[in-house]
Amino acid sequence: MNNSLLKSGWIHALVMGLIAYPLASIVDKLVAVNKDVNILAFTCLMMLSSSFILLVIAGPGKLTKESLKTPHTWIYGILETITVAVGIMIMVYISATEAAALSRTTAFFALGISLLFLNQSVNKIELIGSGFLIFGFMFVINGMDIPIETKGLVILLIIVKNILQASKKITAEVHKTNRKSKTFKEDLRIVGIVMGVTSVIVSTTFILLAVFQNSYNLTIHKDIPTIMDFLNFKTFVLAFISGIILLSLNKYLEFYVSKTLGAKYLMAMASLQLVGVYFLEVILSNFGILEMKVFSPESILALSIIFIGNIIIAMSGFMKDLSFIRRGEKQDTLANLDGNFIEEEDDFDLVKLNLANLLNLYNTDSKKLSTDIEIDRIVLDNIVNYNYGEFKIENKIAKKINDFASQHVATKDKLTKAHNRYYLDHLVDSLFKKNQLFNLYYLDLNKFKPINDEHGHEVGDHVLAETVAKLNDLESFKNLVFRVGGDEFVLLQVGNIEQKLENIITQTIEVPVQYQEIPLEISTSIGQVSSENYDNLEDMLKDADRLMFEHKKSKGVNR
Amino acid sequence: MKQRIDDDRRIKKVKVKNNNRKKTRRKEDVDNVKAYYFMVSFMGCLLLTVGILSYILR
Repeated sequence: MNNSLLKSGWIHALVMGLIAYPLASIVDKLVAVNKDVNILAFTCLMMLSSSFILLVIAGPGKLTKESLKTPHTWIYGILETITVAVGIMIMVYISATEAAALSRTTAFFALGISLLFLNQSVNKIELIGSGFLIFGFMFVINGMDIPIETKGLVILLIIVKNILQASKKITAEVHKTNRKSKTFKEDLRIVGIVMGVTSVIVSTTFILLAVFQNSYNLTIHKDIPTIMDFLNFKTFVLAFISGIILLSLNKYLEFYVSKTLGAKYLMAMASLQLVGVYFLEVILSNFGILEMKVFSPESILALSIIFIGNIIIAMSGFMKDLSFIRRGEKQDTLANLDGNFIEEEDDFDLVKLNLANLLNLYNTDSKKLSTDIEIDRIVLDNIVNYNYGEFKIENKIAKKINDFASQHVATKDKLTKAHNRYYLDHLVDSLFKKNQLFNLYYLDLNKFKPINDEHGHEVGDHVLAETVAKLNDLESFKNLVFRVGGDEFVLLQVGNIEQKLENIITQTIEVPVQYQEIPLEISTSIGQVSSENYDNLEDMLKDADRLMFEHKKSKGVNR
Repeated sequence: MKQRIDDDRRIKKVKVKNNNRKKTRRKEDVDNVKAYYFMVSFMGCLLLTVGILSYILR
């Protein structure tokens, strides 16, 4: 998640809290005044219209099928249905003001769920904000004018509804494709799919309930719409207009803010709705469109306490993000958004290639590689076995593999696994800089060409690789064997340089190499120089080569 | 030599995998377009039906 995403998250949240939510709230109020419009049928049709318009604007493209298949989409739809159902059950017992106040305490539940299930931390300021919300919640509950015997049930329903609301926003926060989407159109497409699924689930539920009520001549709830309520022209027109203008905007903002800021700050910022609604009501009442609602002092006090609690929580989040924005750093808790995982196919392939090279270097011993690179073996196996799109590689894992490969693979000769000339230059340079003395042995294999000619390159390659392996086994040259030509090698002896090792090298190399039970004999000519007489590698190599050539001539071997 | 043969095999495998990947991608694109038009037409048909019926029954 980059900082511009955080910034736009807060701007979207402001637009949502101050403009989009209040407008929707006012429209709901205006619709509720119409006695012939059923609010549930209106909601279902509004969802349907919003889904349609969002999909039309977005057009076809990525993440469509995945959004439709992901369980988050369906969970969101089911949660929405239950929330609406619980909402209408509560409305029997409490007033609209009380319901509005109580629904604004959802940030507290979102904080709790984020803490328990998303491992998000809660700071002291957020705890203080939560305290205000709990106090406001208790205040409203206490002031409710309902019989004591039903109070328990109502409180339970309110808590359930708030938990459902918070879970819905958290579902939007963790929604798989919502997190993946990178462009505006992708965002719209995902919200369109979610709203489509939601509208189908909600509508089907209420149509079934309507049919059930009709068939058995029962009244489960007076607000459950009949089939005719769905086919009311006024309901349809109002729902269609509100859906395409308001609900689509609200849901887009909700999903965007959920993924950028998180559900808890979304809910806290949503409390700005109280301010927005107040101003809109003042304006509309001046035009005589809507009657200004008169609040009792208790209601004003309860709403103020809850509003302050929300603002404290929102400010805590804003200040935290502001410090990230100012420092230009990325925020850890939202790192998933920016891709904890590799997104580009080319990057994925590079990691795969580097890992393949490393495994080649380790003779496909993934267990040893896993220990050295400190990455779980299963992860390494998965990277080898899966392709882009089938498996996700975490960014930190990719970096580890790429860094390890550049340290080990780029400095090594692929065939023999000896170090290459680049690494020799680098190492000798650093030894000169540190004034550390060392001996350099220049080796040329004798009788190698006949092996290549008689048995083929495959056998020749095997002899070279085995020779390097044998030299690497010598304690003095561990990791200090370099291939500088076809059958020419350099060995560095760092430390204990008084002891000359030509004989040991010769004896080691002259042990016959076995290839399919054929013993292959080779020998070597060696030129040795000591770094105390030199200040650069080129001169050392030139003299060592000359000495090696003299040695070869003295042994009577052609070069 | 063995290494070279291994390399050739690996290159061949990568080529096959690349082709498979392209095929998978093409399939994903087609699936996305199908899913999209299914959703849009489904929503559109529902809205149209409700709209027409409610207009007739008004």
